[in-house]
Amino acid sequence: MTSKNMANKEFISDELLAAYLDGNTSKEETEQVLQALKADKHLQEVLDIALQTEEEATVMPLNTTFSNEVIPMLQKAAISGENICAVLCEIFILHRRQLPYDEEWLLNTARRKDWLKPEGTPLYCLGNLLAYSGMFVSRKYDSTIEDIYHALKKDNDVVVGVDREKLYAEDVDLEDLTNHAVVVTHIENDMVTIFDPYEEPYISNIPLIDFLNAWKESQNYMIQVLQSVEEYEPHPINVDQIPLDGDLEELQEAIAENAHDVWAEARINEGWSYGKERDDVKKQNPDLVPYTALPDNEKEYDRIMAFNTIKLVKKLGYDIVKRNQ
Amino acid sequence: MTDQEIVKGLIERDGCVTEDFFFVKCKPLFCSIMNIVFDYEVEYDELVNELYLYLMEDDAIKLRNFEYRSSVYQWLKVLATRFFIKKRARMIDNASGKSPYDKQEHVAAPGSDVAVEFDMERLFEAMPTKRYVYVIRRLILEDCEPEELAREMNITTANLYNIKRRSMAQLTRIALNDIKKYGK
Repeated sequence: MTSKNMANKEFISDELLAAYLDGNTSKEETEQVLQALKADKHLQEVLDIALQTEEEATVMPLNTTFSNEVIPMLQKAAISGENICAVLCEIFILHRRQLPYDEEWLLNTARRKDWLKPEGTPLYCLGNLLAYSGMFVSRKYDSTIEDIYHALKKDNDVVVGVDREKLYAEDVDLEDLTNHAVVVTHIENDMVTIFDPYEEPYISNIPLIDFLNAWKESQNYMIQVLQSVEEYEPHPINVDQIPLDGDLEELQEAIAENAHDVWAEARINEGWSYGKERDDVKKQNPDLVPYTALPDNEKEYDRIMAFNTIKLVKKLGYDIVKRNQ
Repeated sequence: MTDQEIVKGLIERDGCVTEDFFFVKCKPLFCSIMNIVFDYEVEYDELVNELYLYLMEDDAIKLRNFEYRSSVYQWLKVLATRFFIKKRARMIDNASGKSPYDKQEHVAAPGSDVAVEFDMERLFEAMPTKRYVYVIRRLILEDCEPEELAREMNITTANLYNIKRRSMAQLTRIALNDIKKYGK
């Protein structure tokens, strides 16, 4: 038999390969695919790509329609029970950095400041205790595994929001949501090392594919504890894809003007007044004029801020509805 | 919409189904595949239109022959991946003046030992998630019904479907790493 004939005989059809990936092949067929995989570079590439795009297969149930994604800001980063996973992650970081802490005091502080709610810690409050302890905490949605990798390389601590059940194969995953926080301590080959305060052993290795699956539910939300403030890079939430209908665009100008008035009122209360040029000693500012008198470039600044704020509200999952007159 | 409805709509060239499923829902998938296959900039719309023509050629024979052994989405992923890889080879051949890849057969890699059995037990041993090994063992090696296994594991069949796919992904990843490591 020539190698060409052998190869044809062993060619794996699209149907069979897809069935294999979905786990619907018999023992013989599974062995046939694995056998062919050894010899066929083309098949190796196809399967490698299939694994890399596994994410899409998981995130896209066919019976749902695409809509603008909403980031899970208010889902609590906790599992049922104590719901203090985020706090425990932050304590773990303080401990790792050999900083003094009092667990009870931190828990009480988180509760008092409403960062820790009965259902857990909202994602946007992750890292507040660390910031309160004097550390520089940077937050980011839409992060990548490379972002985590680079943060760890700089020896920064990283906490991510995850769907806990997706981390562990033995757990039943009843719904897709962010319900847990873990600290990522290391990434190597296809494994991610995490600290999970609710899973013994507390430090464990998770296959990369499972980690990515679990992490994506928080819209790849991560916080990192910076070594110094110089490392800070702003990462505003991307709202480019959020459409605004006519009514909301009208709001933009009103919000822009009001934001200017709020800013001006606060400055005046602090003793600032109008001056042709900014003078921090005399507390004078040329922008302390009515919005209508602002130069266009200043108005534009307020408009962009208003525009992005309205879009952010939508992206965070809220709708702005005008009451009937 | 069920897979049957999607396939039927595609075969009948139903505008809504074709647009909604093929051109909208599958867009992130096609983009991901293209990003991996091509390391240079390609025209997304052009390639996806070509893929669509390929899918529909000979009166949509590929769709008509689809046996629903997987989700239609998984099947389309495999089909699209192979199509884009062929397309890339053709682009390279055109640039270098060689014959089109289409006329070539899938040949075994030179020097590979196809007679050596892939030791599934060895792969299972290397899989970090033993629950996945169990699922593959029960479903594939022992031919257990998914409903029965789902009951046994106290999970829904929909949940089992996800675990099963992740299990196969881990098995395949281990197999690919094994090939990379030992050159087999």
